[in-house]
Amino acid sequence: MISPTAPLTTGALRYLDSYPGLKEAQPRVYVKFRPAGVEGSFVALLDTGGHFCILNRLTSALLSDHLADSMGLFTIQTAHGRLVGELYRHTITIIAEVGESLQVESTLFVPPDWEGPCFIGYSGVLDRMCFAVNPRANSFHFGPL
Amino acid sequence: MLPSNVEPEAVLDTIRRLIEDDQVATARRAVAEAARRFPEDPEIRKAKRVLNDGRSTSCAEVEPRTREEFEWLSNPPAWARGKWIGLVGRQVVVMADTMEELIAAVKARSFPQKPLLHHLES
Repeated sequence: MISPTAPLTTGALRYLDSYPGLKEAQPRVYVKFRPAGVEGSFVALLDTGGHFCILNRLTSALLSDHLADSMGLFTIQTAHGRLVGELYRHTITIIAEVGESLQVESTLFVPPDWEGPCFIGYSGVLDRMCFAVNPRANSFHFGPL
Repeated sequence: MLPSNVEPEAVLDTIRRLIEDDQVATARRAVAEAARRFPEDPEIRKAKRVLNDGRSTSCAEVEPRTREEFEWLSNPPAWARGKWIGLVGRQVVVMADTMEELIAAVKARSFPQKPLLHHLES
Protein backbone atom coordinates (compact mmCIF):
# COMPACT_ATOMS: atom_id res chain seq x y z
CA MET A 1 0.00 0.00 0.00
CA ILE A 2 1.46 3.36 -0.93
CA SER A 3 1.22 6.53 1.08
CA PRO A 4 1.94 10.07 -0.09
CA THR A 5 3.28 11.00 3.31
CA ALA A 6 5.34 7.95 4.27
CA PRO A 7 9.00 8.87 4.76
CA LEU A 8 11.00 7.23 2.00
CA THR A 9 14.44 8.73 2.32
CA THR A 10 17.01 9.06 5.05
CA GLY A 11 19.87 10.81 3.28
CA ALA A 12 20.50 13.40 0.59
CA LEU A 13 23.19 15.08 -1.43
CA ARG A 14 23.38 17.91 -3.91
CA TYR A 15 24.03 16.31 -7.29
CA LEU A 16 26.05 17.51 -10.28
CA ASP A 17 24.05 17.99 -13.44
CA SER A 18 27.01 17.59 -15.78
CA TYR A 19 30.11 15.40 -15.74
CA PRO A 20 33.12 17.42 -14.59
CA GLY A 21 35.08 18.51 -17.60
CA LEU A 22 32.46 17.46 -20.12
CA LYS A 23 29.98 19.83 -21.74
CA GLU A 24 26.69 17.98 -22.12
CA ALA A 25 23.64 19.04 -24.06
CA GLN A 26 21.19 17.52 -21.59
CA PRO A 27 21.12 17.76 -17.82
CA ARG A 28 21.97 14.64 -15.85
CA VAL A 29 22.12 13.52 -12.25
CA TYR A 30 25.62 12.70 -11.02
CA VAL A 31 26.08 11.47 -7.46
CA LYS A 32 28.96 10.36 -5.25
CA PHE A 33 29.46 6.71 -4.34
CA ARG A 34 32.06 4.36 -2.94
CA PRO A 35 32.51 0.62 -3.54
CA ALA A 36 33.26 -1.25 -0.32
CA GLY A 37 36.97 -1.68 0.33
CA VAL A 38 38.15 1.26 -1.79
CA GLU A 39 39.90 4.19 -0.13
CA GLY A 40 38.18 6.76 -2.28
CA SER A 41 34.87 7.77 -3.80
CA PHE A 42 33.74 8.49 -7.33
CA VAL A 43 31.25 10.37 -9.45
CA ALA A 44 28.54 8.22 -11.08
CA LEU A 45 25.69 8.95 -13.46
CA LEU A 46 22.24 7.84 -12.38
CA ASP A 47 20.74 5.81 -15.20
CA THR A 48 17.19 4.73 -14.45
CA GLY A 49 17.03 3.09 -17.89
CA GLY A 50 20.20 1.10 -17.41
CA HIS A 51 21.30 -2.03 -15.65
CA PHE A 52 23.79 -2.61 -12.86
CA CYS A 53 26.49 -0.41 -11.40
CA ILE A 54 29.01 -0.03 -14.22
CA LEU A 55 32.51 0.93 -13.15
CA ASN A 56 35.05 2.89 -15.11
CA ARG A 57 38.69 2.00 -15.53
CA LEU A 58 39.91 3.82 -12.42
CA THR A 59 37.26 2.37 -10.14
CA SER A 60 37.69 -1.13 -11.58
CA ALA A 61 41.43 -1.02 -11.00
CA LEU A 62 41.10 0.12 -7.37
CA LEU A 63 38.38 -2.43 -6.63
CA SER A 64 39.95 -5.45 -8.33
CA ASP A 65 41.64 -6.81 -5.17
CA HIS A 66 38.29 -6.78 -3.33
CA LEU A 67 36.11 -8.61 -5.83
CA ALA A 68 35.34 -12.30 -5.60
CA ASP A 69 33.12 -14.88 -7.24
CA SER A 70 32.62 -13.50 -10.70
CA MET A 71 29.75 -14.77 -12.86
CA GLY A 72 32.18 -14.65 -15.76
CA LEU A 73 32.67 -12.43 -18.79
CA PHE A 74 29.66 -10.76 -20.38
CA THR A 75 29.24 -8.40 -23.33
CA ILE A 76 26.61 -5.88 -22.32
CA GLN A 77 24.87 -3.19 -24.32
CA THR A 78 25.04 0.25 -22.75
CA ALA A 79 24.16 3.75 -23.90
CA HIS A 80 27.82 4.10 -24.89
CA GLY A 81 28.06 0.91 -26.86
CA ARG A 82 28.88 -2.69 -26.00
CA LEU A 83 31.24 -3.27 -23.10
CA VAL A 84 32.98 -6.47 -22.05
CA GLY A 85 33.41 -7.17 -18.35
CA GLU A 86 32.58 -9.39 -15.41
CA LEU A 87 29.51 -9.41 -13.20
CA TYR A 88 29.86 -9.44 -9.42
CA ARG A 89 27.86 -8.81 -6.33
CA HIS A 90 29.43 -6.10 -4.19
CA THR A 91 28.33 -3.41 -1.79
CA ILE A 92 28.42 0.24 -2.81
CA THR A 93 27.61 3.21 -0.62
CA ILE A 94 25.69 6.20 -1.92
CA ILE A 95 27.36 8.97 0.04
CA ALA A 96 25.08 11.42 1.80
CA GLU A 97 25.86 15.04 2.39
CA VAL A 98 23.17 15.19 5.08
CA GLY A 99 21.28 12.48 6.92
CA GLU A 100 22.54 8.95 6.41
CA SER A 101 24.44 7.29 3.58
CA LEU A 102 23.04 4.14 2.02
CA GLN A 103 24.82 0.83 1.58
CA VAL A 104 23.40 -1.15 -1.32
CA GLU A 105 24.26 -4.78 -2.06
CA SER A 106 24.52 -4.34 -5.82
CA THR A 107 25.15 -6.07 -9.11
CA LEU A 108 28.41 -4.65 -10.42
CA PHE A 109 29.56 -4.80 -14.02
CA VAL A 110 33.33 -4.36 -14.17
CA PRO A 111 34.78 -3.66 -17.61
CA PRO A 112 38.51 -3.08 -17.23
CA ASP A 113 38.80 -0.57 -20.08
CA TRP A 114 35.78 1.74 -19.84
CA GLU A 115 37.10 5.32 -19.87
CA GLY A 116 33.82 7.16 -19.34
CA PRO A 117 31.91 7.80 -16.12
CA CYS A 118 30.61 5.18 -13.74
CA PHE A 119 26.90 4.42 -13.98
CA ILE A 120 24.37 3.56 -11.32
CA GLY A 121 21.61 1.71 -13.12
CA TYR A 122 18.15 0.61 -12.12
CA SER A 123 18.43 -3.20 -12.24
CA GLY A 124 20.59 -4.39 -9.40
CA VAL A 125 21.07 -1.03 -7.67
CA LEU A 126 18.32 1.59 -7.78
CA ASP A 127 15.62 -1.08 -7.56
CA ARG A 128 16.96 -1.93 -4.10
CA MET A 129 16.39 1.53 -2.64
CA CYS A 130 13.95 4.41 -2.48
CA PHE A 131 15.02 7.58 -4.22
CA ALA A 132 13.75 10.96 -5.35
CA VAL A 133 15.09 14.01 -7.13
CA ASN A 134 14.37 17.67 -6.34
CA PRO A 135 15.45 19.53 -9.49
CA ARG A 136 14.88 22.91 -7.92
CA ALA A 137 17.45 22.18 -5.20
CA ASN A 138 19.59 19.85 -7.40
CA SER A 139 19.24 17.33 -4.58
CA PHE A 140 19.08 13.55 -4.68
CA HIS A 141 17.30 11.85 -1.77
CA PHE A 142 17.55 8.19 -0.92
CA GLY A 143 16.77 5.57 1.68
CA PRO A 144 16.43 1.82 2.25
CA LEU A 145 13.47 -0.15 1.01
CA MET B 1 9.35 -20.08 -18.41
CA LEU B 2 12.12 -22.70 -18.34
CA PRO B 3 11.51 -26.01 -20.17
CA SER B 4 10.71 -28.86 -17.81
CA ASN B 5 13.67 -31.06 -18.78
CA VAL B 6 16.37 -28.37 -18.87
CA GLU B 7 19.69 -28.88 -17.11
CA PRO B 8 21.46 -26.23 -15.00
CA GLU B 9 24.17 -25.63 -17.59
CA ALA B 10 21.60 -24.87 -20.28
CA VAL B 11 19.78 -22.56 -17.88
CA LEU B 12 22.98 -20.62 -17.26
CA ASP B 13 23.52 -20.31 -21.03
CA THR B 14 20.00 -18.94 -21.36
CA ILE B 15 20.58 -16.44 -18.58
CA ARG B 16 23.79 -15.28 -20.25
CA ARG B 17 22.05 -14.81 -23.60
CA LEU B 18 19.25 -12.86 -21.99
CA ILE B 19 21.63 -10.51 -20.22
CA GLU B 20 23.66 -9.94 -23.37
CA ASP B 21 20.42 -9.32 -25.30
CA ASP B 22 19.55 -6.58 -22.81
CA GLN B 23 16.71 -8.64 -21.32
CA VAL B 24 17.88 -8.35 -17.76
CA ALA B 25 14.41 -8.51 -16.18
CA THR B 26 13.69 -11.78 -17.99
CA ALA B 27 17.11 -13.10 -17.00
CA ARG B 28 16.34 -12.39 -13.35
CA ARG B 29 13.01 -14.19 -13.58
CA ALA B 30 14.80 -17.16 -15.13
CA VAL B 31 17.34 -17.07 -12.30
CA ALA B 32 14.57 -17.06 -9.70
CA GLU B 33 12.88 -20.04 -11.32
CA ALA B 34 16.18 -21.89 -11.74
CA ALA B 35 17.02 -21.32 -8.07
CA ARG B 36 13.74 -22.97 -7.07
CA ARG B 37 14.39 -25.93 -9.38
CA PHE B 38 18.08 -26.39 -8.65
CA PRO B 39 18.63 -25.00 -5.16
CA GLU B 40 21.90 -26.86 -4.65
CA ASP B 41 23.59 -25.97 -7.94
CA PRO B 42 26.52 -23.67 -7.02
CA GLU B 43 26.54 -21.69 -10.29
CA ILE B 44 22.81 -21.02 -10.16
CA ARG B 45 23.12 -19.99 -6.54
CA LYS B 46 25.91 -17.62 -7.57
CA ALA B 47 23.77 -16.19 -10.38
CA LYS B 48 20.91 -15.59 -7.94
CA ARG B 49 23.25 -13.94 -5.49
CA VAL B 50 24.79 -11.68 -8.13
CA LEU B 51 21.67 -10.78 -10.10
CA ASN B 52 18.69 -11.08 -7.80
CA ASP B 53 19.63 -10.81 -4.16
CA GLY B 54 20.60 -7.63 -2.38
CA ARG B 55 19.23 -5.11 0.04
CA SER B 56 20.01 -1.61 1.21
CA THR B 57 20.71 -0.35 4.70
CA SER B 58 21.36 3.11 6.07
CA CYS B 59 24.72 3.90 7.63
CA ALA B 60 25.90 6.84 9.70
CA GLU B 61 28.68 7.86 7.28
CA VAL B 62 28.15 11.42 6.01
CA GLU B 63 30.40 13.65 3.89
CA PRO B 64 29.19 17.25 4.14
CA ARG B 65 32.04 18.51 1.95
CA THR B 66 30.67 16.83 -1.17
CA ARG B 67 29.19 20.10 -2.36
CA GLU B 68 32.60 21.78 -2.20
CA GLU B 69 34.12 18.90 -4.16
CA PHE B 70 31.46 19.11 -6.86
CA GLU B 71 31.84 22.88 -7.09
CA TRP B 72 35.62 22.53 -7.42
CA LEU B 73 35.27 19.83 -10.11
CA SER B 74 32.84 22.00 -12.05
CA ASN B 75 35.43 24.78 -12.34
CA PRO B 76 38.90 23.34 -11.68
CA PRO B 77 42.06 25.48 -11.86
CA ALA B 78 44.10 25.33 -15.06
CA TRP B 79 47.01 23.55 -13.34
CA ALA B 80 44.77 20.59 -12.50
CA ARG B 81 43.52 19.96 -16.02
CA GLY B 82 44.71 16.67 -17.45
CA LYS B 83 45.57 15.37 -13.96
CA TRP B 84 44.23 12.48 -11.91
CA ILE B 85 43.26 13.99 -8.57
CA GLY B 86 41.84 13.21 -5.18
CA LEU B 87 39.76 15.88 -3.46
CA VAL B 88 38.54 16.41 0.07
CA GLY B 89 36.38 19.49 0.01
CA ARG B 90 38.31 22.01 -2.07
CA GLN B 91 41.70 20.58 -1.13
CA VAL B 92 43.64 18.40 -3.55
CA VAL B 93 45.09 15.69 -1.28
CA VAL B 94 46.63 13.56 -4.01
CA MET B 95 47.50 14.23 -7.65
CA ALA B 96 49.17 12.28 -10.43
CA ASP B 97 49.89 12.45 -14.15
CA THR B 98 48.61 8.94 -14.87
CA MET B 99 45.92 6.68 -13.53
CA GLU B 100 48.53 4.12 -12.46
CA GLU B 101 50.41 6.73 -10.43
CA LEU B 102 47.19 7.81 -8.72
CA ILE B 103 46.32 4.23 -7.85
CA ALA B 104 49.80 3.67 -6.41
CA ALA B 105 49.56 6.86 -4.36
CA VAL B 106 46.09 5.99 -3.03
CA LYS B 107 47.16 2.47 -2.06
CA ALA B 108 50.39 3.69 -0.43
CA ARG B 109 48.76 5.85 2.22
CA SER B 110 45.68 6.20 4.33
CA PHE B 111 43.59 9.36 4.33
CA PRO B 112 41.81 10.88 7.32
CA GLN B 113 38.90 11.38 4.93
CA LYS B 114 38.50 9.30 1.79
CA PRO B 115 39.08 11.51 -1.25
CA LEU B 116 36.87 11.91 -4.29
CA LEU B 117 38.99 10.50 -7.12
CA HIS B 118 38.60 11.85 -10.63
CA HIS B 119 40.38 12.48 -13.91
CA LEU B 120 40.10 15.99 -15.29
CA GLU B 121 40.14 16.35 -19.04
CA SER B 122 42.85 18.58 -20.52
